[in-house]
Amino acid sequence: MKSALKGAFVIAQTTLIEALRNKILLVSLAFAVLLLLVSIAGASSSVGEQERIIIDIGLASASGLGSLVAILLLITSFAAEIKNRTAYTLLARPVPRWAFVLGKYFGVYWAMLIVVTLMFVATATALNLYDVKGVPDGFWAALWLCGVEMSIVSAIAVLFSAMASPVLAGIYSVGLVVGGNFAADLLALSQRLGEKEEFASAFFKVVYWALPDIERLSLRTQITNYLDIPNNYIELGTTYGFAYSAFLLTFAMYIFSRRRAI
Amino acid sequence: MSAIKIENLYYSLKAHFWSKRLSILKGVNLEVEEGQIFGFLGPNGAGKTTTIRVLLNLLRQDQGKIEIFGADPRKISTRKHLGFLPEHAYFPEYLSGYELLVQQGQLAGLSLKESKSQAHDKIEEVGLSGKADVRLRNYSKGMLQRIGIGQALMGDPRLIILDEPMSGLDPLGRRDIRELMFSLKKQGKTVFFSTHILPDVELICDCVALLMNGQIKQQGALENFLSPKAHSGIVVRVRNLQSEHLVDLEKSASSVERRGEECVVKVKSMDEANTLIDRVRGWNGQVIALKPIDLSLEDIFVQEVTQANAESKS
Repeated sequence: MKSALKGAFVIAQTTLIEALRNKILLVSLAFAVLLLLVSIAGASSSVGEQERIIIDIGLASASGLGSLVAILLLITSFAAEIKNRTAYTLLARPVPRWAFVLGKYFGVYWAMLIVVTLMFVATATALNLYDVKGVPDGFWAALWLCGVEMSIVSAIAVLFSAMASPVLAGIYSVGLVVGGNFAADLLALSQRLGEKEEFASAFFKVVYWALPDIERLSLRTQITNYLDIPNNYIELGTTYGFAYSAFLLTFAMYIFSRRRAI
Repeated sequence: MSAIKIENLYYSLKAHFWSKRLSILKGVNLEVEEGQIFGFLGPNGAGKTTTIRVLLNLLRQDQGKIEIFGADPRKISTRKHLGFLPEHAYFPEYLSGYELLVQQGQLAGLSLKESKSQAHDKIEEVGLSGKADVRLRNYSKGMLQRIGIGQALMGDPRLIILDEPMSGLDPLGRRDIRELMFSLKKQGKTVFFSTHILPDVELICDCVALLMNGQIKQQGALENFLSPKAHSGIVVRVRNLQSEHLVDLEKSASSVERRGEECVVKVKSMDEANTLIDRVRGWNGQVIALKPIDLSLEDIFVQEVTQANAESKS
C-alpha cells in the first residue's frame, strides 16, 4: 500500500510538471488576464458598478476557464497517454492501476488549485488597484469553493478518461460539467411540477441527484450583490463536493483496474 | 529458474462492439531461462507485441498461465523485477531525459536520492551524456530509443523486455545496443526482445522463438535453430568455359551466372558439385573456388513465413 501511494505521488508530481509546462495552461492564464483587463476597462465606464463587473468576470473566468482547462489537461495527460501508449512504461512498473488514476487526478487537481488561486489573486489585485471597496467579504471563501468545484470537474474528467477515448472523454466531461451547472434548475423544475406531474417531477429529481450540483459551489451571486452567505454553506458545499469527487474517483479507479486492455 | 514461462496462452479481441472476436494468440508456449538473451521473432501481426503486453499485464489473457521468475506478473511485487521498452518509444515529451529516468527509478521502488544517482549512470550507459537536460520532445528517434532503454534499466531489473529495441537506430546505435545487451547478460540479467533485424539476432541471441499467426512455430537455442538446415547449396566458381558448355551446365545446375570471364554455378549437393567439377575439368576449364552456402536466420525466417502463408491459404 505504501509503495502504491508512493507511486501515485510520483505520477502526480510528473503530471503537475506536465500541466505547468503545458501550453493550454499558459494560454488560459493569459486569456484570464486579458478578460480581467477588459473588465477593468468596462468598469471604468460603468459608474457604481466597477467592483461588481470585475468580481463577476474574475470569478466566472476562474470557474469556467478552470473547468475547461482541467478537462483538457486530464484528457491530454490521461486519456491521450493511454491512446498514445505513453502510459505503458508507467503501468509496467510495480504500480497498481488505481494508483495511476489517483496520481493523474491529483497532479491535475494541484495544477488547477494553482490556476484558480492565480485567477483570484489577479481579481483581488485588480480590485485593489481600482480602489473601489477592496476585496469583499466571502471572496476567499469563494476561492475555497472554486477549489472544491475543481475537484469535482477533475474527477469527472478522470472518470471518463479511464473508460473512453480522448475525444469521447472530452465530450462526456464537458456535457456533465455543463449539466452540473444547470442541476439546480432541474431541482427547481421538479419542485414546480410538483404533484401535477408526479412522474416528470420524480424523473427530474433523480437526474438532479445524479448530476453534480456545481452551481451550488459558486458564491458569485452572493459576493457581487453583497448578500450574506448562509450559515454552514461553505461546510456543506465542501462536504458535498469532496464526497462527490471521492465517489467518482473511486469509481474511475475501479473501472481502470478492471479494464481488460490498456 | 525460468525468467519467463508461458503456457497455453490465448488472447482475442473485438475491434468493435458489433464485430466478431478475433484470435490473436492461439496457445502460445514459451520458456526463457534466466541469464539468456532471447530473441522473439515473427512477421508483422504475428502477436509479438500482444504477447509482451500480456506479460506486462497491460492486456489480460482469455486463457493460459504466465510466470515471471515463478510468480504471477499481475502481482505488483513480480513487476519489481521488470524493465520494459515499448515498441515505439512513447514518453512524456515535456520531461527531460534525466527527469524521465528519475521518475522511472522512483516508480521502480528507488528512493529519490538513489534514483537521481542511478539516472546519471544510466544516461551515461546509453550514451546520452550532455543531452540529459534536453526535453524529450527535442530528442531524435535514435535518442528516444536510447533513453527508452535507459528507463527500462532503472531499478536494475532482473528481466529486461525490449519491444523492437533496434528500430530507428543507425548501425552504430545498433552496435551500442548489442554491446549493452551483452553487458547486461554478463551482469546475470535476462534480456527478452522482439525484433525484425535478424542479423542482430544471429549476433547476440542465445535462444530464439519464432511466432507466426499467434503460435510458436519454432523455439530453441540459436545453433539448433540453424543447424538442421545449415546449407542451402554449394557455389562453384569456374572459368575458361565455352558458351555451349554453359548451356549444358544450365540443364543440371540450380543456377548459372556469368560474371566476366568467370562463371558462378550453384548446385544443391556435394555430389552434384563433384560431378560438375569432373565435367569442367573434362572441358579443360578451371575450378577457382568451392563454397557451401550457409542458411541465415533470415533465410529460415522467410522460408517459414512463406510456408505458413501457403498453408493458411490452402
